[in-house]
Amino acid sequence: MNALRVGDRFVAEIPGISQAQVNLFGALMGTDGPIHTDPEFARSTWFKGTVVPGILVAAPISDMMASLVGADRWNRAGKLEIKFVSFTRPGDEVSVSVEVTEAAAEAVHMRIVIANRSEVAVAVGEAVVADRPQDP
Amino acid sequence: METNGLLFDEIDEGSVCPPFELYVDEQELAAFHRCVVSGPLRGPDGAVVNGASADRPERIPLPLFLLGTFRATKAAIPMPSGVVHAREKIELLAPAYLHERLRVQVRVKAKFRKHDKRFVVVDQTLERVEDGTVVIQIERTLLWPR
Repeated sequence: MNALRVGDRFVAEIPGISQAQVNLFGALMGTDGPIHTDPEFARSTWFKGTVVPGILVAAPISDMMASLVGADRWNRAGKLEIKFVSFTRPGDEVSVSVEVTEAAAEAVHMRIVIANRSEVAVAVGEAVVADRPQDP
Repeated sequence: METNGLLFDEIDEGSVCPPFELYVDEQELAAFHRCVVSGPLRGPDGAVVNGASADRPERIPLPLFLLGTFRATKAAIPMPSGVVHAREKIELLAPAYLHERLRVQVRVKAKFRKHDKRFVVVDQTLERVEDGTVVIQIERTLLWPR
């Protein structure tokens, strides 16, 4: 974590998530509402088709953070806030970028943007990882 | 395929829902990893980030977003079709592992209207049953359709 510097930017490319993966995730996680899993229903809604659940889009962030700051620090002293500002459909590829905005001894702050291939943000947020686990 | 669920006006702020038991086994973990796929993480120089070398835990903690299951939220608050996930705030406090008995407590923190839209905010706390250790705390904001 001490090696992270303000301005450092890390990116991971996320392949398109299939409808089958959306359905499997929905059965596992409870995100099985028809807007995610029923194409016929979803076509009749404002979305005009199924959309990938926000937490499935955001899920790669956790492993990314563990890689950057260490799994133990992340799992004991991490905070994450994500706002879902748009949506993705099954098959849409996205990129997840993490940029260090503050790198003090006490904590590191990182801005997170998940964007589609047109560089439109679908989710934005911030992660903060303290230098040491919070006192109970 | 419409599904029944609570209307916005039927949701009580401050209501605490019965705890939801969570137990993750290898099959569920494998299913999660089949859904969550990522390319390599690349740093400023384009090189692949291999992870903090000093951090190789003997046991691999369960993924954060697997622990933040919506099953607990839905068990607590039946959702109508059209609920949209607006925001997630998560605080990680301790790792959780396979085969641990975990308990999720859901509470309706608030509900409000903004720009003619209805929002419901729930607090979701995951703790280890064995010793009561709080693993994660989530504040989940949902856009409610009606």
